[in-house]
Amino acid sequence: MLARLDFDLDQYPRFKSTAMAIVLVVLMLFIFFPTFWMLSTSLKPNEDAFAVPPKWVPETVTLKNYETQLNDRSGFRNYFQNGVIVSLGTALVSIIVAMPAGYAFARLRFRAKRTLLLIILASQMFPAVIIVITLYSLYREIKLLDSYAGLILAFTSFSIPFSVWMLRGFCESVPEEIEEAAFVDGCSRVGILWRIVIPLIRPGMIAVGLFSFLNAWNNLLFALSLTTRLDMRTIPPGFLLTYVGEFQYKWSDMFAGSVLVTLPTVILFIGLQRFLVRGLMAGAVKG
Amino acid sequence: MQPSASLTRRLAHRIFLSRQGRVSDGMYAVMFLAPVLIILVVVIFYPLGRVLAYSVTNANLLFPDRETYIGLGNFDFLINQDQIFKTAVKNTIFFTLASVAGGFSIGFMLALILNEKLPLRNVLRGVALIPWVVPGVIVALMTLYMFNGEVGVINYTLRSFDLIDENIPWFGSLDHAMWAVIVANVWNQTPFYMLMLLAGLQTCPDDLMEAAKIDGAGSLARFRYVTLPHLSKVIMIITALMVIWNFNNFDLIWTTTQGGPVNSTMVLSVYTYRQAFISFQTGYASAIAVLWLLGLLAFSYFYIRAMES
Repeated sequence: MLARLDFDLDQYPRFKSTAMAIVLVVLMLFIFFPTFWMLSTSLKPNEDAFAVPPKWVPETVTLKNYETQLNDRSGFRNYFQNGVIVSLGTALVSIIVAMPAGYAFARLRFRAKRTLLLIILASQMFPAVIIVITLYSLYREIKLLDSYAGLILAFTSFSIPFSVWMLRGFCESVPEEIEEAAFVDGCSRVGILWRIVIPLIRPGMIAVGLFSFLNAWNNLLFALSLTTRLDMRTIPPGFLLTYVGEFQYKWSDMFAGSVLVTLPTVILFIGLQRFLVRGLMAGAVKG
Repeated sequence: MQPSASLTRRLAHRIFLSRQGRVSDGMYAVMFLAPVLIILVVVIFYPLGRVLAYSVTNANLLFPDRETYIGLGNFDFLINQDQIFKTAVKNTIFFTLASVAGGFSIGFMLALILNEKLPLRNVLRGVALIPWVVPGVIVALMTLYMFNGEVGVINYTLRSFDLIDENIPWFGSLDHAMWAVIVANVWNQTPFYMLMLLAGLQTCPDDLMEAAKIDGAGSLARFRYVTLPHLSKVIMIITALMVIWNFNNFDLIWTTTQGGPVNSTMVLSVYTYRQAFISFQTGYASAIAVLWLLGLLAFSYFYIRAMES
């Protein structure tokens, strides 16, 4: 029946809404259950995490696991703090360096513009694991291993292509007349960028900041390879070390930590995603 | 006043344009682009150049500056003798195709449904994005717990529905580990497809849909001849992006299995990492990298050709 090309679902509204509801519930269960399960387990005493049949809703609710994490100075708190420093740093540096570049690609005329843009965009395609083979020895030589600066630099390089592309789209959406008017009033290029363009494309800067922050916060490979000291680990390598090894079966603790780590990103993302979507679309206008 | 104002503006525009092409623009371009280019050269292109150079040596991480030139030795061994490399290539392709197919289909279904007028639509759209922001390592830890052989909910659920008789030791089994990882990966990435396809669907012109309806086109026909062509560009871009991303995926597999059991989830990124940082074979890892880059180049070339036609 469905295979017939003139069959119109809209003529059977009840069939359509029932079918849609069923599919939606199944898909939403798939999407939502793991997150729910993480939350649920994080509120149980650890022995309940081993229960078969599983206790879907915690029987005894406890915040002990969260307490354990928040009191863990050398572990969780240390990783969390490093994560915040490095991710904020990456967001800030990405905005600062990608802003003028995005503007240049939108407005300035210079030789090899297309080629340069292509090279910048293509650099996103290189597998990180390939880069890190020799980035490690380079960092060892220039003493950047185990440093915030080194991590920020590495993370920034991986958010640059996308950031430049997105900010170029935003800059193109600024009406050229405004820039001209400022130019007539004697404003220089730098002045135009600083006083006119930047205030107008704040949403773009937020999008770039968010994207770079999340990238740095979630990155395992660089954080794992470019740090050797325990106290320099960010969250992903820190968790890897703690829970895939020594404390493998402390599920409740592990998920309390996971909730604490995921919460900031979910809040940031849900709150700011409209900027990111706008950024994606703005970049795509002249993709 | 009107004409003279517009005259001033036209004049200004002239001056603005004429200045744009001049020397000063080039100078500004250098100034504006320098920070980005310097970072990319230091962190990406210079290391990449080194990888090319190392690929023809026996460089070792523990003994820097003692590498000797060995010609195409690494490549010869990789292609003719290294069975794990072959397994890794096969696994990577399988992992990538299954992940993209799964994530794309589920994401597309979600996008189509969440594009309809529904109660709580915006809340559902928000909730559906959550998996995408969960860090890869945490996705992996969740996978280890949920697919755990004894206490995992996946086995429990499958048993409750009589789909299996005995618990499956997901991560201890050669046939099952890869599937567990793929399911987790699909879960993690579905929101991205949904987000992009939803954005594409929202720009689909209503009048075209209406016209098709009036012409008697059914649901399937409208999907095939109106929706799909409208989305084709978005689809091309996101599938290409996700193929490349999944080819590079490291976090999930490294945290769950590190390539095991017995290489059944060994993918290229994990194998390269092992060679470089566990066996310290910088030269050999670089040779893998070079072959990988060549493959990437070929893929991009054919993809762009396919997109243009």
